[in-house]
Amino acid sequence: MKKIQIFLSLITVLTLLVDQSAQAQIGRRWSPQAKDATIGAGIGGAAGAIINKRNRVVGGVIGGVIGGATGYAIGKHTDNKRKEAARVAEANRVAAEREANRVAEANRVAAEREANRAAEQSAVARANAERAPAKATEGVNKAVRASGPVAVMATAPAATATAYTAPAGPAPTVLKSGYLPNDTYGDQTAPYGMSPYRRKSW
Amino acid sequence: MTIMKSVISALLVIGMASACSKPSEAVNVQELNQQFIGAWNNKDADKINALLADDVHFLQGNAHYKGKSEVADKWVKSTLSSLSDLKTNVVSSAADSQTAYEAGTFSVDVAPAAANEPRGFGEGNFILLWKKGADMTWKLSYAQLEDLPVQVKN
Repeated sequence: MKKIQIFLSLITVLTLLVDQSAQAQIGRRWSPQAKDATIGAGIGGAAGAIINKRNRVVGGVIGGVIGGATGYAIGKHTDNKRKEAARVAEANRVAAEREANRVAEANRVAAEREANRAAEQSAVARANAERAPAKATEGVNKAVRASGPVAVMATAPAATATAYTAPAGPAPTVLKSGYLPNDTYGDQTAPYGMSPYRRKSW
Repeated sequence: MTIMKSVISALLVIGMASACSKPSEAVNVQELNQQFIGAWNNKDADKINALLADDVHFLQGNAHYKGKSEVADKWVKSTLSSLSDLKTNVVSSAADSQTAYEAGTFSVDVAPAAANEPRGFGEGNFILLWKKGADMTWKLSYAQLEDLPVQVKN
């Protein structure tokens, strides 16, 4: 009985020593295989020594080998599960990052398109503003021709007032893209009232 | 022998009757459209309007005009002055005794809308559908245009 106690104490001490030295050598967390193999070897060794009453040493060795192998298998399984979880997490992270990049790119393109559209609208508005006074002046001239000198005095201030509303710089009659501006832009009843370009040709 | 003679006589009568009734001929849709396009190029509004059916439909972009007077006013009258050298390229065409159509692409020169604006060049897709009316004359029943943006003509 005393021999058994000594033997078990020896195995425990050896297990602890192996454990500590291994940790010291690696300097980091144990792998699940190593940890479970060590635990299995310790338990198996102890159990083998207890079970084999005729030869404690042989029993301990056999138990240790079997326990170690079993522990390694369990540890490997744990390690595989952990690696799979890490792989899934990494894949999710990459997918989330890609989605975030895609959304950012889409937002950037939309903002750019909106800015271009606003610029085109501004150009169309200026072109229309330029045309409006010209048409008004034309109308005034027609009225002058029809009504004579009295109408000139009556309509001149109106024409002058209209002329002052024109923008200072030259209005673009052609959009940057090489298309003509739509003078019915914003008119819902016109065939292509929502297009900043002129579309109606026939 | 008597039966044989009567059968032959009956066959002859049927044959002559079928030869006399001519099958109704399909209209020459190319000629109809040439008249129509020619009227546009000659700026002949009366000729164009005469070719429109009373219940004509005209679709262009988000506009849908119904009836001869609305189409004549909002399409023909408002477009005729700014258009010249209208050409069509027919992609699909068919005709029978009651309906005929031509569809394809068109190109046209666009007069400047303002004095300081350059001339334009327009292209697009079209379909012109003709139907024979009760008075046996062919009229434009449906027209649909899809215009592309008007480019500056160099």
